[in-house]
Amino acid sequence: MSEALENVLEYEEDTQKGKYLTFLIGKEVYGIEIKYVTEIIGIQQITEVPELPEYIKGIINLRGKIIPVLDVRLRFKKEPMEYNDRTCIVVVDINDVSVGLIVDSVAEVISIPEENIVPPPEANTGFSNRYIKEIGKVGDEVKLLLDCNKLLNDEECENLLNI
Amino acid sequence: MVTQNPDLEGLQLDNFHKAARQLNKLTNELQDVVMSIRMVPLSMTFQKMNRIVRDMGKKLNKSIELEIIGEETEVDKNIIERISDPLIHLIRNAVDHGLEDAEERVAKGKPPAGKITLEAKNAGGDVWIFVKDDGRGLNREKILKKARVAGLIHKPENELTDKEIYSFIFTPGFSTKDNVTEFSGRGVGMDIVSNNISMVGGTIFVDSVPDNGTIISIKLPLTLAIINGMSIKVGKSRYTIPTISIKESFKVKNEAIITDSEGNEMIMVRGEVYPIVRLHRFYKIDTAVTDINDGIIVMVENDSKVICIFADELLGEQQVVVKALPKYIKKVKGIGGCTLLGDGSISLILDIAGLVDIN
Repeated sequence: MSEALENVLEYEEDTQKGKYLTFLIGKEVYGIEIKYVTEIIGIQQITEVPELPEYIKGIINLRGKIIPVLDVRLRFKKEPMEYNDRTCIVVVDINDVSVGLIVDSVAEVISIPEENIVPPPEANTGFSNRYIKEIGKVGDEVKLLLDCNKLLNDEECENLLNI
Repeated sequence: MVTQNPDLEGLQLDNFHKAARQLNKLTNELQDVVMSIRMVPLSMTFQKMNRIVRDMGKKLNKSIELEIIGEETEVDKNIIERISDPLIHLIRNAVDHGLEDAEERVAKGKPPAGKITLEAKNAGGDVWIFVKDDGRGLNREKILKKARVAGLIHKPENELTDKEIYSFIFTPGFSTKDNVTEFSGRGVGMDIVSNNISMVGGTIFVDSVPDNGTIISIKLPLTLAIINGMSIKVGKSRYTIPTISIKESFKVKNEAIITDSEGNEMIMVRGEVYPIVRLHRFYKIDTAVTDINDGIIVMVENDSKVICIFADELLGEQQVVVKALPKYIKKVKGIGGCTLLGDGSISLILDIAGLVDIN
């Protein structure tokens, strides 16, 4: 029995490995590992919470569970955009913390084989570079794969505290 | 909740409202009954202490008298389960650390038998539990020395108040005992005690007078789950104020406002002056209501300190289920949690104690 369960678990892990959910912010395509994603919901009423960094838009009521939402656009210091019917909230679960990520639109789930994933270029050209863990090549397109932990945790703040 | 559904707005539904009121009354009654089942007197927990005190007294060769006051005070069942162990620990501390030997006591001119008082009482929406002993009190110098060694002191020592120094005993791994005994000296106790207490939403305070004894006060909420709250509106956001802390609410005219040189606003009500906290300014919320004439003042009280909160309008009173803010959002000043409203939207619950302290 336990063996069978193990097999199932392994199987599950395998199906999720190498799969990425891609979404759009402006013109760029970003991807996050599918294992973090719990669900995708449309934009809903957000309750503002005062005193938070600008990119944390507030909290939402997800079937009785209260989760914070952060705007990935603002997180990357891009221009804010009006939410429309394409705007989605990607609910991710990282280390038992549920957070909603507001993205311009969700594209697709794709598999990227390991050999097509390369580390990001060294040159620190943009702000959002910091959150990019790897770069995936799909056909002749490039997807920026995000590091979820870094996305959520505010290094800037912590750095400031350490000074 | 149902009656506040936006779909019903503007409809003339006399019979429906009558029925809804009736249902509301019934559900309230049901809820009261359920809540009263959850409320349990503290006597069971307190009576356990008798035995602990007697056993420890025998082992340590101290004669101790335990006085129990207010054991009939009722607290939510969940809370009782959680505070039983911390209380045992506090009592053990009092017996082992606090009380002196009979000879030492006589030498100090105290009666040879030590006395421990365990007291519980209701105050507003809170329950207070005091553990008091008439022993030697906390050793300020020893705590300070240990804190210094452990690197806990972050400001000039002469600026530390006694209370701050005594609070060091809640730090993990802190013990002033040099040797470990059966009962104490491991330095884990008070840390766990304060953790357990804060887990149920309580706070713990310590005060001590050398050779006169130590008093540990624990403040607990009456219940964890449900509070009566007044919903208010500021801009697009809705906030809930626990009804228990509201003294009154009223409209004022601009002329009644006094402004000091730093722009702090105050209001004179029946000869007393209270500070005004404009929520929209405090939390930087956009709202159309910035004129004192248009909004409403809610006077709230905590620990006999009073402030006046300025909001756009009152939305009405209802019972709300308290939910914690997500962990990802760390502490926001003046906000104690959040709750879901009838239409699924979220209202933030103001932490009046916190607000009063800031202002």
